[in-house]
Amino acid sequence: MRPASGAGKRIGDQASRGGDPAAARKQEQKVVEAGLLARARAGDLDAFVQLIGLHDRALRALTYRLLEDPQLMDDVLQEAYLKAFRSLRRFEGRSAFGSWLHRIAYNACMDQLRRSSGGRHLSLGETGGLPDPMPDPGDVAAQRHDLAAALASLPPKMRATVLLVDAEGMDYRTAAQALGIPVGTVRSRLSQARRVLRRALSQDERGHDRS
Amino acid sequence: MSGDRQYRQGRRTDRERDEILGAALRRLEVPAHRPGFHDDLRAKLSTAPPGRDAADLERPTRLTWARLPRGQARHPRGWTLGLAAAAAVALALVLVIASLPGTSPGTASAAEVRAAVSRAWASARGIAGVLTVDYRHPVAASQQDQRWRFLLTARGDFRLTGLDHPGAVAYDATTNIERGLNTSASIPGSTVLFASQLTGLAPGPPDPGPSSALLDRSLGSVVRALAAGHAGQVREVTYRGRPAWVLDTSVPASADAFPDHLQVTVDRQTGFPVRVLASRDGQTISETRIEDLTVNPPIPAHAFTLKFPPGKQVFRTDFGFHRVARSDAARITGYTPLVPGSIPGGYRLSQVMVAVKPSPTGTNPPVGDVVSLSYRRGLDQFIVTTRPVGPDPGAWRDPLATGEGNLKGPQRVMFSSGALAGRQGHLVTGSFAAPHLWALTSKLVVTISGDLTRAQLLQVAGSLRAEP
Repeated sequence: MRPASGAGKRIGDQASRGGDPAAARKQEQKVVEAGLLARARAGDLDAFVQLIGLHDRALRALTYRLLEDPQLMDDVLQEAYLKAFRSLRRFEGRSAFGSWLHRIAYNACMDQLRRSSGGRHLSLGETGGLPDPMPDPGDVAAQRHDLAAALASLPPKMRATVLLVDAEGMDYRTAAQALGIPVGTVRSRLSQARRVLRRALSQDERGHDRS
Repeated sequence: MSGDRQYRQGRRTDRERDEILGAALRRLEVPAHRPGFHDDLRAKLSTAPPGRDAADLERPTRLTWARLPRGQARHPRGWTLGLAAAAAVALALVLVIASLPGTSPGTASAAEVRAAVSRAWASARGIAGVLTVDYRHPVAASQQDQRWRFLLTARGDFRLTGLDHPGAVAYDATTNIERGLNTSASIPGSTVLFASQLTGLAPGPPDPGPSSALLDRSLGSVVRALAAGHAGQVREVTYRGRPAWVLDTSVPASADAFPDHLQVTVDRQTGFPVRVLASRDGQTISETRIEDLTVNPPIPAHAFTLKFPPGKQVFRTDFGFHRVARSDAARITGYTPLVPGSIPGGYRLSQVMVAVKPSPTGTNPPVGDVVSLSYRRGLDQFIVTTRPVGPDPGAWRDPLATGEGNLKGPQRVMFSSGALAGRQGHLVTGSFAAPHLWALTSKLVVTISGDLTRAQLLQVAGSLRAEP
């Protein structure tokens, strides 16, 4: 049974207490981050660029999976980084810099999704499945066996939660800070998201077993 | 049987299942930033106020000689610790920066190479070079080995000059005139050149546009195939003295004459494909090479004007399209055209063209009053057209159907928003066909085609609205 609180913490976090190299690297990153943050707050542009570089891959993963468009990913991340730079004074250090940056990027993504909601289309799945005599084989494969497709089928808020906790290894509290929601909501979103994604994974596994 | 139950039967713990899921999520490919992303960001940051007041508030207190109490040693412990911390920061910085994307000496992922190609194509103002297409096993008479010097711009101008044959074609986007000097395909071996001039061209499919098919087939389709693909193996090589990636990737098999595998050599500095080996069932179909590639080349005056030899008979065709202001389109055609409310990032409306004269698309009824909107982003282009459906909506078939490279049959989609809400659309995405979507409203036939992914086609289609 999972512990009730902080259950999203990765095994790696526990190992870090035992002093494994990954944990040591994480600690080094925190030291680096603190140094860069101090310089960035003093207006050092290079330091800020290096600082966001520490989180850039995770933020690209989050924004790309939310927006599903590499151009939008870039546009939204530029907007988020710019906002973060302008708002450094409002960062009080009550949360980790990374989760603060994630929250800015997440909010920018949600704004973008709201802006483009006028262009929302329904997929076949959402319409209840129109008969498609000759569906695109690639799409069929993606819809049935692709984890990325299963992830894309989740509502964005649920998608973000599972990405932050399961892919990025944030604990529930940090993810809640990044998403601006209560820990309980993180837990419930995560539970639903995992149920869908595990199903996709199990189908993948069955597919691989057969091959 | 549910996935959960299977997992239970496999006796995996919750934690193990979460670890497996997390690992699988982390393995999903993440696009790299477009070339120039960081330069753009730095430029924007340099004009943004960094919140200096807060920096003053929260800046760590600095120890200064003046603030030290008298008699205290001039190397306080805090300073020693500070120096040690600074050294640790410097050391760790080296370690961390070495692992940052873009600074790693490791090989790029397939996603990074795909992204580099897409973004090079989408950000270039023009390209020039020598294009060589070598068909190893031609399956059609038109597939002849060819070598052309080419120049292509983001406005759509292009010039192709034959290097191993006497042909030449040039299209000037400003005047919307295409001129060609070509041998006749129906007279094998002949070197007699026929002069042609095309005017009133549409921006592109499904209406007759500039004859840039060779460039589109050789380069544009490769860029689209890479963008639509997923995985692939990347290795780093030196190609003609320049660092390059070689991406081996499968592409969705389409018609028999089209590849199911591409080996694309991408110039690392520019992000452009410089060699493409296309194969099917393990057998090479064609090799395309780009030599002397120049990105954003200087454009000579009159580069896109082809002069005919004096006295040459010129075959002239006017397709009837002319540029108009978007606000005039409704007045000219008598109906309000559909315009996208949402387009993919970076695209801009480049021109609006109207043709009043009726002309057919494929086997469809000839209709006039066509409105064609062209959107461009670097060398990418997509086109939205509307035309009256006429008295027999049931007579309409895919206006862009060419039979080339399409996957078997379109996919049907239902829209929930915009002017197409409640309507069914037909979506075609194939590796070597122009991705497109078409739909009928009660009064109009709508097409969207060009350099768009499936999701982007649906984004544009779902946002269409009647806009005078």
